[in-house]
Amino acid sequence: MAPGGARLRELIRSVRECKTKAEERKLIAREGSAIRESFRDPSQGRYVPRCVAKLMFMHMLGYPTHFGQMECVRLTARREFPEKRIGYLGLTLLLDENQEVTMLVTNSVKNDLTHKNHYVIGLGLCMLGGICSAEMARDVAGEVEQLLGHANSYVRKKAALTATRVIKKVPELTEGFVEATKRLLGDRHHGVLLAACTLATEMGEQDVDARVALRAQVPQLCKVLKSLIYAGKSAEHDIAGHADPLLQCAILRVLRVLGRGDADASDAMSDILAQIASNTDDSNNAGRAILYEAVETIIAIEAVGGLRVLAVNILGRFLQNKDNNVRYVALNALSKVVVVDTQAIQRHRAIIVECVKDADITIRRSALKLVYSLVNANNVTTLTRELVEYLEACDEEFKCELAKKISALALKFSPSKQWYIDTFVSLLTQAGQYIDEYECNDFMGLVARTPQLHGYAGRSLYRAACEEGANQSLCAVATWVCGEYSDAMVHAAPVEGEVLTKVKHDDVAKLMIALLNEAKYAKLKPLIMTALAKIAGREPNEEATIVPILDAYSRQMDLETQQRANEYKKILTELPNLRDVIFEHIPPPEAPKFVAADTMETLAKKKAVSAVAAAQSFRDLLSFDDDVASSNAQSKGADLLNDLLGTNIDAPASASATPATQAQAVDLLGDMLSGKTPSPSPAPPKTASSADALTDLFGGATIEPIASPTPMKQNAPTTDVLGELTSSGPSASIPFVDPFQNMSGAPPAAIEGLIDLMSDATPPSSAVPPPAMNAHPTSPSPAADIPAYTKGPLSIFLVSSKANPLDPNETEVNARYVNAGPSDIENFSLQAAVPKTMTLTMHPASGTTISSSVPVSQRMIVSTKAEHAAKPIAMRLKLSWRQDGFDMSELATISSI
Amino acid sequence: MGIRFMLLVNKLGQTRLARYYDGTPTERSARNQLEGEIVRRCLARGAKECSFVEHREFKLAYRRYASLFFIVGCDGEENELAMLEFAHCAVETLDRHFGNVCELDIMMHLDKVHCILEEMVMCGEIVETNKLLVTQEACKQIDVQEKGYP
Repeated sequence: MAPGGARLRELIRSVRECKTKAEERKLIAREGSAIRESFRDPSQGRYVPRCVAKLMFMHMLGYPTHFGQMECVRLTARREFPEKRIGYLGLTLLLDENQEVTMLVTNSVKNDLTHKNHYVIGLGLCMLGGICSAEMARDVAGEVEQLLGHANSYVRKKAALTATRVIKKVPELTEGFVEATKRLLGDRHHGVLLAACTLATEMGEQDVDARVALRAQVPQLCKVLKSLIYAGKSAEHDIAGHADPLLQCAILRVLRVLGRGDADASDAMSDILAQIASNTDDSNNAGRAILYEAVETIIAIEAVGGLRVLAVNILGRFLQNKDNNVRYVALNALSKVVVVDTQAIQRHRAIIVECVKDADITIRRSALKLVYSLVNANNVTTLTRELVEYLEACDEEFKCELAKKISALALKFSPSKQWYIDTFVSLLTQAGQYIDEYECNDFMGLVARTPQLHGYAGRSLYRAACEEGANQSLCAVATWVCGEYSDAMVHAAPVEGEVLTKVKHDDVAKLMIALLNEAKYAKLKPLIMTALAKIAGREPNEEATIVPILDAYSRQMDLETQQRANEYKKILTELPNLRDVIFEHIPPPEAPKFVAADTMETLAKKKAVSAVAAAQSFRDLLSFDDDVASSNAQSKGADLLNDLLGTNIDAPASASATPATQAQAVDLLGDMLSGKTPSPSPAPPKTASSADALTDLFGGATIEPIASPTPMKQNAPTTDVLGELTSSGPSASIPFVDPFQNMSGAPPAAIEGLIDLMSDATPPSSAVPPPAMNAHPTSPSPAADIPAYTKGPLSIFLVSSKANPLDPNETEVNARYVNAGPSDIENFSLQAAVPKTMTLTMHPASGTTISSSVPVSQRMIVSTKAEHAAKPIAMRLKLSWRQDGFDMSELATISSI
Repeated sequence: MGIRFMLLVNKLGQTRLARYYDGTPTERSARNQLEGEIVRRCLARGAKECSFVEHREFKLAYRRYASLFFIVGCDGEENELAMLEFAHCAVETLDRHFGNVCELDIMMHLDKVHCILEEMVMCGEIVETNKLLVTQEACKQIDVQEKGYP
């Protein structure tokens, strides 16, 4: 290979020939090391420029090139022009100001700025303009200022842009450049003028004094513009019949900065602006670019009314243009006008709304932004209706944005609550998946606070949820409202303008049951159960339908569902005194206190902050957050329900939140049902009869005299039972077992009763205690009354125990395979694997055929390595069997035994 | 700062020229990622859709020339139509120098293309739009380069 690797062209050719990215990477790595090699060898100095050129190519391809930076710095200090040029080019491409290397070039750059060749000066200026830091800017400011007056226009224009960079980095230096800038604005060379305009724009935007000083140049700039407009054709600058449109745009931009906030300057430029606005030919892109810039200037400065109308009319014309580019800039410019003058744009509203439905996403986004700022209390009904209609047709990508904007608009400008309910329901129907939970909560809060519309809202949601394929958010909201206000839905008179729908309790219950059975709403099951329970609690006729449903779900695997089904069933069937209290309406939450928000983000933030308290109870219902504490609940009903439904509530907190004088039944129930109660019930009931009944039921009072043979606290079993029953943590996956485990003898009657009462959820098989239970009374371990795995008729029970007292790391797992179906399971085989931290020994199973009457058992020994002893035993199972002539095979994972 | 970067990308999405000005990501990985995103967005757009795309904090103005896309990334405040006009002006200047410029010209003469663009844009601002002047000045520098290039 030649010194420093291949020539640049050869490298490019080889890269092009690479068939795969891996091949290319290999090639570049090889080339890179050759370049490094060459950099290290002083005898190869003449190849450095070539290497830097190759590095530029590699940099473009996205490969690391940092090792070439120092060589670039060295090249810039060389005397020869080609070396210098490639060095500077390399520096601007491969470096940025954050790298310390740039400091090293300051000296050579300073030398180059005083070079007699203008190209060399140009190189130095370019480099400074690209990467100079604040320190360097201070260093070279003097030189740059001098160069602004250089005899050569090539140097002047570059110096002007370097000066832009200098004052951007060090604003204090602006003052020193003002005079020179004024002079440059009178330059005849187009390039210099263009660069001077950039410099003046930067100065004017940054510094008030400079702005005032530069205003003196406004007439001069207007003259230049005029000469450009009326100049004859000049081949060099002419683009599509416009003399140097980019320069015209640049001048218009300076005028914008200078005219903003100053009536005199604005006045001085209004003539020329009017001429441009009315005479520029807008049939090509160049002309429209000038017009667009002029319009922006007119909007920004203190223009007289007539001029403004002219500008808005131009934008109106742009909006109707077929070219999407033009429509895009029109929309963008209009969104700037809308801030100062909404009225002027309202005329174009129809076209803008059409743009929201454009095929081009860029146009749609801009139009939507504009529509959003156009909406006010007067037009909200029509505009929102159009947007909601479009929601149905638009693609998914845009739907989310649109839905969020509509929702914000509806909330901000809603003319009436009925309208808001209508809009929100159709929004939920069309794009429920994009509606925030907070927004749903706010909506439900609003419904709750509007008793006269309970029935209306309920019926609307009922209709929407009855449709095929209703989305989850809609169903969640509908479920809540239907459950809460089913009575209003049935009895409240129709509101004016309502589609007449006769709803009976029966219909609502049917809908709820249909939703409950729909697999895709699995997450809503607990919510739907609450709704069903409320309906049944209010309308005793429905009990006959609802209780069996609850009963069916009381054996669900999902704990949350199972728990609710059991609780509600119990309350409905056995606590008639309490049901009215428990199932009464939730008190409406406070209205969220937020000021009219301008953007979606702030809206969401403010809502999140101010509505937390108000939305608390709804969130409890909807999201099952484990960390929600119930102490915020405001009244008895809410308190109760919170306690009932919250999943992991701190019991002492809820007890202290409820004054002792309030109904003790509430208190007690709250305590009993709250999860993981760490201490015994703090407020024993005294008089209330319902409380007594409860106490009897739950065995709270009779539990105390029991002398437990285990060293546990006397009342621990009660706590455990209830804790396990209601908590949803992973440890609760096998409830009701601990009391058996901890009491080796026959359970005392009270406990037995208690367990009988609460054990509806346990599968029938649990009636027979597993043999392991009494065998190892001193080593409590969670046993299996609930199958570790179930598939069709087959259930697998795994019971673990410490079999070997000498080796605490050894665990015996007794597996029992039960067949609940009528036909035998044949050829049953089970293969098990354990994590690497454990070893597994399997004993042969008692048989390979499992009949419904004779379960099969198998013994396994799991030994855990000492350092991992604390880890639960996990297993992966592979099962295969034959039943009714079909071969079955399944994989299962048991996360802890 | 007007122009934040210029990209020349072929229709396969391969970068053929990239010039970043101050304020754009200087991290290599961040830049590669940005280029990837931009290319995906611009190339996916139909001929009838508008030439502007808003991406992150940039506004992209792109124009297709045969198999090459000329993409200018600029600030939100920039005049988009003028940016398109500039892109066109730059391509015409390259055309003038190379005579109907194509992808291969740009690849093989990367430093010349950089040199020409350097004459037109400096630190993110347009400095010269006179095509004749740009080619003349760039040519003078390139000529010196050619002679002394090892």
